[in-house]
Amino acid sequence: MSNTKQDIRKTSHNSFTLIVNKFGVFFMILVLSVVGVLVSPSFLSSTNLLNILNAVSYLGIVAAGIAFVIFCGQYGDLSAPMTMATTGVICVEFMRYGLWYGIIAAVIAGAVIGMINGFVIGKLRVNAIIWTLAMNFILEGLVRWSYKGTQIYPDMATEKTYTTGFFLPIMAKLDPNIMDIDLVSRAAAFNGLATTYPLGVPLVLYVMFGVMITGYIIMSKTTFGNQLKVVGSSYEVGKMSGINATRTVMMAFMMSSIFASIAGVFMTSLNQVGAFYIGQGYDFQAVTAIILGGMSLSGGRGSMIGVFGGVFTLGLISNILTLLGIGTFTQKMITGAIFITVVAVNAKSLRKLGRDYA
Amino acid sequence: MLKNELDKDKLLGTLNHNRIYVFLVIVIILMSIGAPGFMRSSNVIPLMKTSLLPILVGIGFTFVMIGGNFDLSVGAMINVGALMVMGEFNRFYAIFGGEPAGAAAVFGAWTVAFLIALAAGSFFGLINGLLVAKGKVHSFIVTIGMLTTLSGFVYTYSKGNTISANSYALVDIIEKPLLKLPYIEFFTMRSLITIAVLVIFEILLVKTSWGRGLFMVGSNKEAAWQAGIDMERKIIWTFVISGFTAALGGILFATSMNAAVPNYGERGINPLMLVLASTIIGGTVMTGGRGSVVKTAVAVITIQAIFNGLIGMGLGFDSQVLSAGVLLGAVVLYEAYVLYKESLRKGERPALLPEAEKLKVNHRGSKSKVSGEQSPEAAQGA
Repeated sequence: MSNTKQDIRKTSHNSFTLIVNKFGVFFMILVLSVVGVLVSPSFLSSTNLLNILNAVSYLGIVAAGIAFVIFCGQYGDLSAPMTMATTGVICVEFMRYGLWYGIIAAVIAGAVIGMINGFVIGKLRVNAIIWTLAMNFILEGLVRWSYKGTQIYPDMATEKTYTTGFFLPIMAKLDPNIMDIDLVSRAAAFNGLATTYPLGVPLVLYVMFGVMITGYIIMSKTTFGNQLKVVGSSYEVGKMSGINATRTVMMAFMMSSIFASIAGVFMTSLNQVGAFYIGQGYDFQAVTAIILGGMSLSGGRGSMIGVFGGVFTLGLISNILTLLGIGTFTQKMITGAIFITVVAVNAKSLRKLGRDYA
Repeated sequence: MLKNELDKDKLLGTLNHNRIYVFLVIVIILMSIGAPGFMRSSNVIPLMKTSLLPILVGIGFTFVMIGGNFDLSVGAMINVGALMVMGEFNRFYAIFGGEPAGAAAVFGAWTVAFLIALAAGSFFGLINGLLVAKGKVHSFIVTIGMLTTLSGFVYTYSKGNTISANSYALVDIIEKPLLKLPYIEFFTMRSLITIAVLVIFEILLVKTSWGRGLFMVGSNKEAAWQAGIDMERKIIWTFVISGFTAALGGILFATSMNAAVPNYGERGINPLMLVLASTIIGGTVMTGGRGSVVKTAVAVITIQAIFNGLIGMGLGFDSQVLSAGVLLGAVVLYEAYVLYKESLRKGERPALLPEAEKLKVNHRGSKSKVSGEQSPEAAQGA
């Protein structure tokens, strides 16, 4: 089309547009905070702010992982919800030997799921959306089929418990004494994960900040982060400049699944039950937060600070709407509408700046 | 020898294009052996009837995919169509006078409700299409946003309740078999409407220049632009068609049950999974440019036959979810592998391969030598 129309793309950037593009989400947080104060005087109280952060901490962990996938130019990881559910279930199974065994097993399972995703998408160059969606359905089928549609409770230890599940029948076969384990105290320790408050702040909040800071360092300060950026900006260029693009994409998906598995463990602990519906809807919310935070879907642009801003914005919106007395379903509708609008405006501004679309 | 190889490739290609029919036959044979009574009329008719909704949704989904995009919002569109037709019928039935007004009120209310629900589906599809084509946002992002918005919308619209129509007149018409014979009983108004819509859209896709242009847009945007095709308008239309057919599927499904729920497909088998799997198994290429509405419909029936057979073998509901997921994964993987192999052979000319062997080209910097060998020949020829 360029040969018929005049090239209208700007070559010199308006610095104001750039600032809005980069820090737009924090501007939004400022506006929302003012709205929040106007809506309710208790908005700025430390309890309320802590509640907002606590409510989005699970989302923050998942979003930090999916941010890697989007940063390296894949459109998202739709297998995150079932990764959360699957790893949560596996954690409940292995927590019989001790809490740490459960968490480690969950993380390993997450890494394996991420490795499969990464191999298929990085090597065979499948559309990431279709494959991760298929993976989501496969995992859902696996969990529902191996549990025959039942749920797993951490403190449940009847005869029937050891006949269904991924590893429980094998465990019972290998170690017949498994029924004698002091399950009640172990289950209490597992369920306590989500309700521990060191220094008056929920444990999961520390984890979220830990994950975010780790993610920030990996993404912005290491060689691997730079490789991700190159591969995300252009897969071909990355490949031709000597980067193992397959491995880079695979690592990004592994990061996503490992972070999702950490969130899944906490989510299962919060619900005190392992089931296939844990984590439903987190894929979309995480992508919303990431896009709000200024990360471009075409890859290679944005940072973890923006992701945190996006996650916090979603928490603020939900909190203000709740303070206004608006129900969950209408909130969902409003969040979706905001998302579509932000993405459309973002795409338009990127085109104005002369950048590729996404 | 070469000719034989090309023939073999051609044969395999034809087989791959029509693989869904082979699949269907294999599935039917396997299920007939595994589950006795599979081919009985009392089993086949429910099987076909459950396929009607995914067939309708699959029409629009295939159109969007041929254009090179995805519509993940179809699951929510079904609910929009189903709930709006029920809710609007009740509203207009009351306005038109309710039961005392007789058949006229029922007919009028259903007509208005159908039109409103179809318009709603098309409208949301139009928004999807405008954002994708004019806004240049990736279709996945647009439609997943639309999915969330609409699932919030249906809950707000229905207040989380099941809505049922206040009149049973239409169910009797739409679900009444035309002929009370085994197997032929399947032909009700609902199935006939579905088949008619299917045929119309297949003709639109295959026999009109509009449809041929859509294939071009999906397979090669550059060529389509050179040919003077208005791509943006075509993409918008595919999304409108998707919204329309998904809403129509929801409408017919709801009217056949005389009730609509806001969470259809949330806990059972996700309609999106079913439609996505059938579209890809039916031969629509993930990157766009190739596909068929009828083959998608046959794939829907195949998958439903597998589900039905698994129940018949006594394997339970959860095995259906697993089998559908594994089937989808396997087909995506196979398609990806084929595309990967093709991308490795990009630029290769099979007809020149034997000559290349004769030349014995050394791949490491012997270009000058080769040209040196060629030049005397060229001189001879001259």
